[in-house]
Amino acid sequence: MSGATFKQEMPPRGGYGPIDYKRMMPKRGPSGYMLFAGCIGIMSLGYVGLIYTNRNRRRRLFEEREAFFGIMPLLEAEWDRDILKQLQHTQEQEAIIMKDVPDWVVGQSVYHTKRWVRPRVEDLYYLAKSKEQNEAMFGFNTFV
Amino acid sequence: MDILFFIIQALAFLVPILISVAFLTLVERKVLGYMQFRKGPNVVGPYGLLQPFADALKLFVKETLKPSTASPYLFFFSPLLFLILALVLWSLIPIPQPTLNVNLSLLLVLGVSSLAVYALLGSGWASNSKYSLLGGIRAVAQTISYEISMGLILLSILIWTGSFSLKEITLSQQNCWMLLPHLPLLFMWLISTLAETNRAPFDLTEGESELVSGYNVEYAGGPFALFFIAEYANIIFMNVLSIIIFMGGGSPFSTIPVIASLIISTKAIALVFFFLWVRASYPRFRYDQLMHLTWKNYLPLSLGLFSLTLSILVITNSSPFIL
Repeated sequence: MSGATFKQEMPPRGGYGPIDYKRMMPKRGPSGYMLFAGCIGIMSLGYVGLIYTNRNRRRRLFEEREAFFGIMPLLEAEWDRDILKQLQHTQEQEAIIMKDVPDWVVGQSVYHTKRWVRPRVEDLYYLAKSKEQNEAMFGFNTFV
Repeated sequence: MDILFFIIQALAFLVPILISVAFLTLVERKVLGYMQFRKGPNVVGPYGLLQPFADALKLFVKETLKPSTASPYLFFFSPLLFLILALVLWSLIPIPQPTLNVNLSLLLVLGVSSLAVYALLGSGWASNSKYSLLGGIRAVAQTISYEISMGLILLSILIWTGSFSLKEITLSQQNCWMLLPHLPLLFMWLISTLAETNRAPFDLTEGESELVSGYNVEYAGGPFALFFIAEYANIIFMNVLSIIIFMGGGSPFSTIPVIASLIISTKAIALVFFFLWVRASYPRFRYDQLMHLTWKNYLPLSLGLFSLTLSILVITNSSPFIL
């Protein structure tokens, strides 16, 4: 009777289709391969520029070094002259200061050698004012 | 007279940094405001221009609080150390002439900026609060990790410039900015600077929902203001550093003093705006993602790119030195 007419509701044959829940985004922008190729392109361009720059810099550095070598004797002579001037000044002072000490040899070398040892900046300026001393040792530094 | 001169010089060095920090806070609030379709501060002064000064005044007038169980010396020393380090770093930056001309200035910058870790750790520990301790530990771990990949990125630049001096690095980019040949390194560097300055999306140190405010929870008034100023000074500093290393400093006019400074600051403003844009756009990272990003992605990548750029240097015989 009623049992024969009842029909159980069932899923369609083969099951339901997939539910369309995914967000559908349009494809935007260049693809990954394009980005990769573009990046490599920019990088190779940059490397060309950098190689060119560095070779130029090396050429300039070479020229500067040659120029420095050229005037090296002159610079050395200037330095020697400065040192001797300062040394003479210091020794004059030393003679005045130490005149009461018997058998004091003014300007005696502290090194155990007969050769000329270039005095350090501290040795040249130890009798100068501290400001002068600092200037000689650290150059023309100003604060901040 | 010498002392007066000294004070004037110190002020001429410090005040511009502090003013730029003040206006950066205003710019940040304004930019974030307009990105979220609101106006931002516009009540104090014309267009809200006096807002940062009102904030600073409020913070410094407020009572300086200290938790009763906090370690007093370290608690007040850490913000000072943080600010001092942030200000010292500025003396090394050539805009276009550095205040302190050091041959190894980039190395010094790396070293001094690493020292800021002690301020974070000190403040986090001395506050004697678990939130600030966790925030401090997170900040330190993050900063140290990102410094390694940053150092490796810088290595690739250094073999092409041939000098640690920032001035020399700027001058070597007059024909070609470093960003062109080292494009992937630039992206990695920018993200690392975001992480290094503990900015969004890497601001896990102050994860509000977890840690209240990070290492500076217990600070109020003056010391908090010091932390704040130091953080923002570090942000501007990092951007100027990226400009000097990757975007040629004041190039194309890097030898003309005033124009070079203007160009550097314009570029720096663009990068600072990028920082704010990132903050407005991206959600916070997860902590393990943050660590994986540097240790598993940036470290191998920067090493690989270093070997690539080194081999190109050797093959094309374009070392900056006379060998």
